[in-house]
Amino acid sequence: MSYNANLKNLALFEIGAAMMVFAVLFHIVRAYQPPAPMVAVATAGAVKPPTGPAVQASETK
Amino acid sequence: MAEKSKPSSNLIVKLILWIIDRLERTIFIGVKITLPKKFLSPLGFLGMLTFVTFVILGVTGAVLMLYYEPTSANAYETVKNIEEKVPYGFLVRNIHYHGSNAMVFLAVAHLYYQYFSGRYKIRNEIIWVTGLILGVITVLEAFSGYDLLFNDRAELAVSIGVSLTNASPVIGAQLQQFIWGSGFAEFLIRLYALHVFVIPLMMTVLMLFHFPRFLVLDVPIATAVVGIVLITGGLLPIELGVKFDPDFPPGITVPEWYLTGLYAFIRTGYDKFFTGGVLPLLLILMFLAVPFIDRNRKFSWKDRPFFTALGLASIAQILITTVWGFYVDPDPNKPTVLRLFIDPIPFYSLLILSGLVMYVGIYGYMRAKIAMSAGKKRVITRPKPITLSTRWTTVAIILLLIFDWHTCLTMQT
Repeated sequence: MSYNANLKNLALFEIGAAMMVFAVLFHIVRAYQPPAPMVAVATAGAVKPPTGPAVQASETK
Repeated sequence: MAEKSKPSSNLIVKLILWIIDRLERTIFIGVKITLPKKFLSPLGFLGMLTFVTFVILGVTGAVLMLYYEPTSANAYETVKNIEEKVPYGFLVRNIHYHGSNAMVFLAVAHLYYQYFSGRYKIRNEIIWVTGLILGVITVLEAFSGYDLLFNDRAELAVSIGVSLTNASPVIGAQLQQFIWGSGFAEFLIRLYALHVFVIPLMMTVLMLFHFPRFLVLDVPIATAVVGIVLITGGLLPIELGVKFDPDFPPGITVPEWYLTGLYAFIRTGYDKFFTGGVLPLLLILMFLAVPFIDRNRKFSWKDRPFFTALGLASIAQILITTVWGFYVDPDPNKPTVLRLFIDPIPFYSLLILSGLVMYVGIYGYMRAKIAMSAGKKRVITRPKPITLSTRWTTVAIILLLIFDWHTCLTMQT
């Protein structure tokens, strides 16, 4: 519309603004991290703690 | 041992994997391009952003070539035709012009960022030297581009170029004849050949030696850079200027911002070869010598006061000469030569004084700070990332989508 109305520089500005918006959108979607799921207390209590060392002494060398 | 993933049944994925597999037979597999999954400071990949603008310039330049005619009789008229009659010619020309400014600016910013962060170390000397040559060629490419318009500004640039080459010792006259030829028709076709073929070819070859193996391309930042180029084009559309007429002397005009510094040197009236050739060459030689002088293993600008002070002093010199180059005596009653003349005494005094003050001041301050913090342990603080909640992320996305949808609709109608 702007271009056809001979507002050519406005058309250029609008395309640039749209690209900036795309950049912001891309950034927001990429940076979004969904919140960690809630864990029920009963379920959490049912998980057994590890009994032995997670890493063997020989593996740390 | 990682379990081998199941082959995809998707035809497009299969095609991409097939291409990647065959690319292993080419040199491209040696280059690793990373698309970061979170925000990275664009300062680290300014070179890639410069390359993005180079590609944009290649594409828009190819479109402009379809309509441009490099003859002294028609050069200006064809550009006017592109501007006014060719569909979307205004947009393409403006993107090409502002893209060239962006490329020069990004290349200079890239140079200084690499300089201050000491990236020329760790066996990067070849990348550094080719980058410097690329920077100089980028300015030449931009210079040869706006001469093609054949307006009064182009005439000024050409007359500066001709007088500079002519002032070169020993081979001046031959060099002038070789580069510019004789007459308007010859210089236009030569500049056109340089602009669309010779210099881009040189740049492409140099890029093969300049590109490191590991590259980063952040899509939103690259898109934002293109967006800024377009917005600048919308706010400050490039004008055609006055068509150059050899029968009438051109009015007072100044060259592009990346050449006004050089223009200021020439306007001081001293020997053109010294002011327009030797003095700018000193800056280039300084950058060329730095990786071979700075053998310190430290990278941070804070730990290298000598080179940090040198770099900041050079920025001050560039800014002073660039701003001064725009100045023209406003008195219209004076002759043109006098209005353009820059008094060398205040000009060079300010350059020398500012260079000394900047260098000595910054160097002394940094040395004192290093001495004071010698016994203290440096604490590195990392900026906390800004995170949006789910609700605000959704609101932002919806608002931005509405804006883009509205823009698309207005562009179509």
